[in-house]
Amino acid sequence: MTLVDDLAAGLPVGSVTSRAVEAILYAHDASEFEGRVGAVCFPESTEQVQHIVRTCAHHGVPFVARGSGTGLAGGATPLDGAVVIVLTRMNRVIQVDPVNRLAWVEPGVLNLDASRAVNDLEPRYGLHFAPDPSSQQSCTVGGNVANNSGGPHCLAEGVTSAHVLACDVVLSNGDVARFGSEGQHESGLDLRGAFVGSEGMFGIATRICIRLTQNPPAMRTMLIDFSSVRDGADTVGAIIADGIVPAALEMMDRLCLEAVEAYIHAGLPTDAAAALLVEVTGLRHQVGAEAEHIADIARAHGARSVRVAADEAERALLWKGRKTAFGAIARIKPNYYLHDTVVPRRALPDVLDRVYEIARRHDLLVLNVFHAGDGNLHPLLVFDRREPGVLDRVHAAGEEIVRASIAAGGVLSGEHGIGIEKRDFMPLMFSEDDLAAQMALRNAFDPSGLANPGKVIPSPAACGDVHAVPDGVWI
Amino acid sequence: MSNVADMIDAVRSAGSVGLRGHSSRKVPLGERRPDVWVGAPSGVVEFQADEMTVRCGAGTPVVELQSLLAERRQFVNLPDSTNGTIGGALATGVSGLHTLGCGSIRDTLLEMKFVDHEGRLVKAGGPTVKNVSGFDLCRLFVGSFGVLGFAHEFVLRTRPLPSSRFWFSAGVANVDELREVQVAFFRPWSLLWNGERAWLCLAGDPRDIDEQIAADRRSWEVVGGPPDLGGMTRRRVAPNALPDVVAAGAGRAVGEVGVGVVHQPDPFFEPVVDRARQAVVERVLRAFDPLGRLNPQIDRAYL
Repeated sequence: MTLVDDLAAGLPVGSVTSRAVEAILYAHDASEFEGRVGAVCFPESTEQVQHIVRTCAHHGVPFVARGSGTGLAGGATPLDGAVVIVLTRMNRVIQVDPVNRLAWVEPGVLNLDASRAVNDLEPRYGLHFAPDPSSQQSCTVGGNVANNSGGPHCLAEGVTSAHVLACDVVLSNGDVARFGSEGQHESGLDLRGAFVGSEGMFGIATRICIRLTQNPPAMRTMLIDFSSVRDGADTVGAIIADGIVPAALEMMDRLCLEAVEAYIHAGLPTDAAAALLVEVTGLRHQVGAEAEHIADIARAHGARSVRVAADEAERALLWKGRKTAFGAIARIKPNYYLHDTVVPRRALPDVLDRVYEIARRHDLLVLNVFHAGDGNLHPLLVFDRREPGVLDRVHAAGEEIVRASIAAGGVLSGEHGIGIEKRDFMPLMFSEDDLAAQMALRNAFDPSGLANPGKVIPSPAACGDVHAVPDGVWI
Repeated sequence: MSNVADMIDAVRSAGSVGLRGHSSRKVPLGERRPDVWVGAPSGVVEFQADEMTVRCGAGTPVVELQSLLAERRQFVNLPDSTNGTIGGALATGVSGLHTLGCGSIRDTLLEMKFVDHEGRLVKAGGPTVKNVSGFDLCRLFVGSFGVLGFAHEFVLRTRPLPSSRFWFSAGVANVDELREVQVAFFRPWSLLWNGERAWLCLAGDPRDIDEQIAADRRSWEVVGGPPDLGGMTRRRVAPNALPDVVAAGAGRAVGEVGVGVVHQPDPFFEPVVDRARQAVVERVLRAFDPLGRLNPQIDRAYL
């Protein structure tokens, strides 16, 4: 029996295919990388996922789980003919406990749908799932778990790991294990904590217990603009140093403001060098006091104006500007490469200067729209793929940005993950012994090595060869 | 106290090695004992208030660290301790009574340096609050009782101290009333219940706290703190089962409502029944310490 026959034997009709259309569709995620598909499966239950994984083990074929494929680091790109397990049909909200603020969901539930479903089922409790990546309308909770995703509001709320209580995981031998529990994890190995962010290399979560967060009764959203990027970046550090952790603290530079304004017409200050989008949430007195304090700090750091959203419509408009920034950029050039590094907040002004200098030297346009409060940079290199040689310049500039971030005391990724994209940069941050410890953990979860191989950890031979292109992948 | 070189030397030369701080916390002891004991370095290496991170030795007393951070109106989310070390708090992995509002102790550790079973120095995690570079060894180490490696230095996430924080108490007679309290307040730091009374901790702007208390139909009185939980055993339960477990304690058990921990007077040990999980645990233990030489006194059944 062939692999596809064996897969089909345990799945409903139409749940497995190796046709050319699907093979092309599922050969990549939202990254630049293109892989090669062995077969594509669309399971609807944990048992079906177990069957697929056991079949892969029998044939010695690797598997890659994926949701909507919004990942930007190539984590869901199948290498060398892997079986792609598409989890989007597993999209049920299984159970909601609004009083204890938790819900069990399947991995294919879309991030925003998780909050919507909870509110449809239990409207009077005012709850939401806190991680809010920019792709939250289309990314899945399972993908959030795999990447330990962030988002603007993770500054105060924490990233996905802080919002996942437990996962039922299909291991690479087909067994199902529960990591974590509804109740507070007590002493012992936190396999849940290790699993979240493991980029599909430890197993496949088929049921996820998420923590729900109370909606804040009061909020204030402000747009503060500056005549220099450095003033804006200094303001970010000063706000945090003063003991205020806003719900969100985002920065957009001039080019980004221009692109977004042309798209949404929100009256953004297109003549400013940079603007901060700041949101404080909570109870009304605290929100009022913090908002005033932030405005004072900003003015002391040279802010030109402080615009406070007057109502929910204006707040939504300002956030729309932030969240649709990547789409708006299509007005400038048809393609972009989005980077994701984190630097200490105090290094933000210097690293931003470096980013502009690097882009200039490579004759590229760069826009910055990022989670400034976390020091989480998102330089967007915009380009036209049809221009000869431009991709080489984009990749060279990207590598320099990554190196500059690490040199400033930062880390490789704040929320996109390592995947293929940054796999061979890992030695910039970790020694061989550090990487061996991470690989030992991976082997303990997946001794077969069939769960999404070739990601995150560079092969020993690649350690000295930064950004070698993995076999079977085209950039 | 000892330095990193002593830790490496002990791990490389002794048959088995135990790591201990101030021995102030409960650990699950088995039959074995280490040939030698070592300690971990103490002291704050670098506190960056504007980054909200602090780098410190694993042997640093929690009290010493918290008092240093308080000078800049910050704290780390670790359980209150009169005598324990940071390393001990993270090795036992027990969250404090403010888990409901502040989250788990496992979200506190950002970066860690440890001595592995062969005496090599290994780093896990990174120094920034946001970081998804590589697999999350830090969360795995919190609560591992030092059996995966001996941590000697941490970078911890700090948080701003609230402008005020108060404990209140009121009679809450039954489960229905408890559920009412659970949804009445905005993000309390703690809600404890013994079947008859509740203890509530609210933090933030004092005017907001006053308004919330005034809006509730119960008469909450300000109290000095939570009930004494000394000598109690922690038991994990599903949050929706907690009221029944507390009620069965006849006033002697105290539950962390919404969190799923019951403090009860009787010892309690629930063996792990998930065989697939346990198989992974055993492989992790073998991968990080194949001969079981690190902290052999720890009863592995609790992991």
